[in-house]
Amino acid sequence: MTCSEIENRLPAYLEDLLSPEERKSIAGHLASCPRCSRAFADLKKAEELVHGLGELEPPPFFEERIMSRVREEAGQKQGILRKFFYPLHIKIPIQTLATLLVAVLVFYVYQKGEPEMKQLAPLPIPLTELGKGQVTAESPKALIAPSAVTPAKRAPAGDLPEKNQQRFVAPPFENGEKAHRIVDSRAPIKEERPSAMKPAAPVMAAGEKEVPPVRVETLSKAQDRAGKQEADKALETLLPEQKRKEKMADTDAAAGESRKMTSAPAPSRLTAAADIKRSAIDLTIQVRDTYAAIREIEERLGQVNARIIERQHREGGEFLKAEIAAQSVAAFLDRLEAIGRVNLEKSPLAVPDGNVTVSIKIVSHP
Amino acid sequence: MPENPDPVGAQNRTIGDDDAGFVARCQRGETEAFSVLVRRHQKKMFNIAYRMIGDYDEACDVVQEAFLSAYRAIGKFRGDARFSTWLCSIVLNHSRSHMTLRAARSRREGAAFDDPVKSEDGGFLNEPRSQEESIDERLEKREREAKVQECIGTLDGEQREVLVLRDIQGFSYEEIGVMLKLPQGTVRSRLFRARNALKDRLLRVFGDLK
Repeated sequence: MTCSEIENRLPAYLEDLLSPEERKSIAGHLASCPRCSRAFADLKKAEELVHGLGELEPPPFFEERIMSRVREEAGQKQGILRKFFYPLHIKIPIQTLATLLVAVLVFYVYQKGEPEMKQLAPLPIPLTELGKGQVTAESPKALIAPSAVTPAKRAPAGDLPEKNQQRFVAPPFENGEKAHRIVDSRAPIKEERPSAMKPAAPVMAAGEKEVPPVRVETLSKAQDRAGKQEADKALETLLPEQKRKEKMADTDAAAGESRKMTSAPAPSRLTAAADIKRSAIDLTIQVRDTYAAIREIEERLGQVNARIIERQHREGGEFLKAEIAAQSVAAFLDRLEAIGRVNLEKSPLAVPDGNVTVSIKIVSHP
Repeated sequence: MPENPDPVGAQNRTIGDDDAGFVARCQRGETEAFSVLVRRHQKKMFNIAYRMIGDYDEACDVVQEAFLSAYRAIGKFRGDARFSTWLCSIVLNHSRSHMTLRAARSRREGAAFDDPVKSEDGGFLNEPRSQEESIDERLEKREREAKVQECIGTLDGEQREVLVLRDIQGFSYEEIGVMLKLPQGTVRSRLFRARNALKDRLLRVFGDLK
C-alpha cells in the first residue's frame, strides 16, 4: 500500500474497523514511515479538537419562543366558529350585549328620524279620493280644503295630531297655484291611512299595491297640466261666484280663523273640478270566484297595457284600481264582461284623451 | 460492529422512546405536551443547527422553524424511529435549506460560495467555565473552537453532516443512517473522508496540531 492509501484508511484504523491483516500491515507501515505516522497523529489531534468543542446553550426563553409559535399555529387550526364563540362564558354575553345595543340604537334612530322623514316627504294625496265627489261628515278633519291651509299654518313636525290633519291635504301646486282638490272622507280614507302613515313611502318606492304619493302627485300633475286650463276656464265660467268665495276663504284661512268653517263650501265645487280634470270610471263586477276574477282582471288589464295602481281587500269584496289609456277603455270593458256581470256606477260622458282611472269593485255573487 | 446496509430495516424495528407518550398526546391535539419535547431536545437540536450553519442567530431561527414543522407533521410520525432521530432529520433539512438560501444570497451579493463561516462568539458565553481556567485560557479556547468551527464550515455539506452527527453529537451509525436515509457503510466512508478533510483544513489553519 502506498502512503496515500494508508492515509485514506487511517480513520478506519483509528476506529478499529479493519481486518487484522490490514491492521497489521498499516501498523508496520506507520512504524517505518514518519510522514504517515505524523498524519496519524494529526488525525487523532483533529478528532480531539472536534470532540472538545463545547455545547452551546440556546438563548434564554428559547422554549417559550418556540411554544408561542406552536400555540399560534395550533390556534389557526381552530375553526372560525370556534374562534367566534369560544370561550362561551366570555363571548356569548358580549355578543348578546352587542346585539341588544344595536337593536336599541336602531329603535332610537328610527324613533328620532321618523318626524324628519315625515317632514321631508311630500304630503300624500290618496288617488282614490280624486273625483269621488262629495264630502261627508264622517271624517271632518280630513275635509280641510288645501286652499284653506297655507304652508305657514302647517303644524310643526313634532305635533302628531296636527300632522294627521295635514296628511290628507294636498300640497300647493307649482307656481303658487292652489290645488283644487278635495279628499273624500269615506271608506278609502281609513284604508289609505296606513299608506299615508308611512311618510317615507314616496322616497322608498313602495310596491304596486300601495299608492306612492310622489308618483300620484306627479301623475296628477301631468294629467292636470292637460286639463288644468280647461278646468279652470270651466270653473271660471260655471262657478264665478264660488271661486270668488273660495278666494275669500283662502284669505280667511291664511289669517288662521275658522279653517273648517271656511273650507266647508269648497268640496262640492272642487270635486266637480276634479271630475272635469280627471276622468274616472267606477264599476262593480259580480263574479263567482273573487280571487280567480282578480287574476283574470289583472290579465285583461295587462292586455290593454294598463297600470295597476292599487289593490285592496275590503269588506264586501276586492278593490282594484288601474290606469288605462282612454282609447283602451272600451276594449277593456268588453273583456270585463266576459269575466262577470259589470255594473257601471260612474262613467264620464266623453272620455278625453290621456289616461282614465278605473276603480273596480269585485264582489262575490254565487 | 456488524454493518447494516439497509437503513429502512433499522427504521422498521420497534424502538423504545421516552418521548412516545408526549408524542401521542400531541397527536391527540394536546399542544402543551409538545412543550415537554421542546424542552428535552432544544439544546441538542440547536447545537446541531449551529454546527451546521455556524451562526448563532440563524441557528435559532432554523431550530424554531424546525420545531414548528415537527409540530405540524407530528400526526404523520409513526414511531418507527426515535422522536429525537425524526426531529434531528427535520433540523438537518431546515439547515440544508437555510445554507442553500444563504449560498444563493452570497452569490447575488458577490461573496464567495466557500467563504469560511464566521463563528458567533456570543454563543459561547453560556459555556460552563471551570474555576481553574484563567481568562487567557478561556480566550485561547474560544479562539481555538472558533477556528475549528470555521474549518467545519468549509467542509462539503454531506461531510459536515456526518461529522457533526457522529463526532460532535455522538449519534450511532445506525441513527445517522436513518436520519440521512443512507446505508451505514456509506455513512462511515463519508465520515472518514470528512475527518481527513477536516484534518487537512485544521493543519492549514493551526499550522501544527501538536
